[in-house]
Amino acid sequence: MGVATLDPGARILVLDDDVEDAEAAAGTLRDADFRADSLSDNAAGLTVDSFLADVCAGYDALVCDHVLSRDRRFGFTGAELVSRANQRTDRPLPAVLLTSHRGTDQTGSISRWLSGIPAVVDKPELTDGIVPALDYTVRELRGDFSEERRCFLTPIEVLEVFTTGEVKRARVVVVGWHMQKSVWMPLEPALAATGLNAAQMEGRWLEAKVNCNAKRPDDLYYRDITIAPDLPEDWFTS
Amino acid sequence: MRILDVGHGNSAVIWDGTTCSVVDVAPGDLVKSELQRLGCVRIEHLVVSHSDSDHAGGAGNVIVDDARTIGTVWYNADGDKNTAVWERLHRAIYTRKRMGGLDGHQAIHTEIGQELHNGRAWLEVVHPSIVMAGTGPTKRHRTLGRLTANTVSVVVKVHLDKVPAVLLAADIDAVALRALEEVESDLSAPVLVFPHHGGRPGHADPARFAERMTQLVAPKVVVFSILSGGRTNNPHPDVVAAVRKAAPDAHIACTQVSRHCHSLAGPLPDDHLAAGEAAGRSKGRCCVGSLTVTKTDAGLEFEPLLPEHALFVSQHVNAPMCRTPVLPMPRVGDAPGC
Repeated sequence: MGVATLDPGARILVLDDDVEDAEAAAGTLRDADFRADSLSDNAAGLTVDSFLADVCAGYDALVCDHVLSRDRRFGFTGAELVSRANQRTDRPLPAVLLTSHRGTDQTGSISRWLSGIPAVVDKPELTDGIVPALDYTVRELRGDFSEERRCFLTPIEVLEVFTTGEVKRARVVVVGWHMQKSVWMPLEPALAATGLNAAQMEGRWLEAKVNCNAKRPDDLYYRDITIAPDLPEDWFTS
Repeated sequence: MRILDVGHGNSAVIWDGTTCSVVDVAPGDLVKSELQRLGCVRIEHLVVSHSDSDHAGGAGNVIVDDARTIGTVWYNADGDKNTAVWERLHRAIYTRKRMGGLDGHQAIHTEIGQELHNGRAWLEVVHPSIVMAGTGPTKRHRTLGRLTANTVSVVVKVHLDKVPAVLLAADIDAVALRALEEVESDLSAPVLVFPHHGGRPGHADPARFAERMTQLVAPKVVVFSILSGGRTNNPHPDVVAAVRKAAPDAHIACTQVSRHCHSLAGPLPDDHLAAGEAAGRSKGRCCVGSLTVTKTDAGLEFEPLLPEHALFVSQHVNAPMCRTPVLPMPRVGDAPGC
């Protein structure tokens, strides 16, 4: 089903466990002629899917903070919720992620969901950034990708694997992004997609669709990850 | 065609309509941006002169980006170097071949048996010979001696509308130049993109190499593709002096301002630069920036206009090697090129 433009009067849910931040974001959206509600808890303890089906029903878009656990346990991160909202197969719900954690360890917990997050807005830039982010999200859900979000198939060399810490990750070279600089890639999606375990991953060549024209490594996302086939034997002998 | 300011490295884009050819892809966004600016939908020939990162490091992105199709990727094996960059280049080619949109890849030398055309442009392969390309870099060749990746790097003479225009000399050294002389290769071209960014030509004397190179090409314009500052600190003053000696009337243009010419840190004006991107523009370090060479009925035309570049140099560069008398002596910070 197609994604509708967010016209004035569209209903937008703002989700942030910080009540003041939630209301501030909703206020910004109201100033832009949207009907915005703010919410700061998940009192019913809903799962992501249930939350999208129940709480988000009736809304035309979602704006969600990444960290949702300051006072009350949500059981999921904003990045997961936003990604699943945008990638909902029956009716994608345009969703934008808010964060005040770019460049911190939280970046890792966002990165594994980036494939489904067309736009991330830094909280300090919310006032000017939120409406353009919603507009872009709708465009991407309609297939109109920005150059920095357009993805294409690239080989990926796995250099090292790290399985400790909040987010398991691999240090990789995404050949289509930069042939010499290594970047952090979330490991779990690669393990799930390839069936390999972490120990088997080191030294492997993978392929994935990656938005290789992204300026910052933190903005890279990975789709359709597979194990790359070996180079043909005659490439080494001829 | 456009000789891009990529900082330390080389890249050139030749286009006719929406079809392009690219010779070398330095790391960074410059080639990609230029292809987008030109609306290029097909790269007919992508030539990777040799395995060094400053010539090949950006090729992965160009090869796998499905925004445009590619005819042939031309490059030679480098079994001696076997760098990670080189393996990644192979991988990019293989991925793109399987994905579609890349016709093929081939070794490149003077006897490939076909001509590399891009509309009205012709990319004449001047070097390496089939023997050198087939041998590749090696410490000990029976007759040729030591061949480095630079020695066997691919030299292309670009003809625009059947007229020789630009010699892209990659990183060739004195061994390569001697080989070219022995087979009496015609290197003459109005524009020379000087080898190895004006750095040292292997173990040979830089002044003698530069003088001979310049004599053989007889250029009207000599371009040094360099990074302002940087470890290599190019071009070498002896090289510039020798170029001036061999071609006193040639217009010398560095893509970015050399530290030998201008030691002041402040940004330089950029209103003389051509439209489009140049790596040194944002930091105010461009000298000629990216140089566009166009064949018209009147001959070759340049953008930026060469007189405007000359005016910029005389007004803003405090000790330009291309203008002031040069005493060929070592300077602080000299380092061998890479």
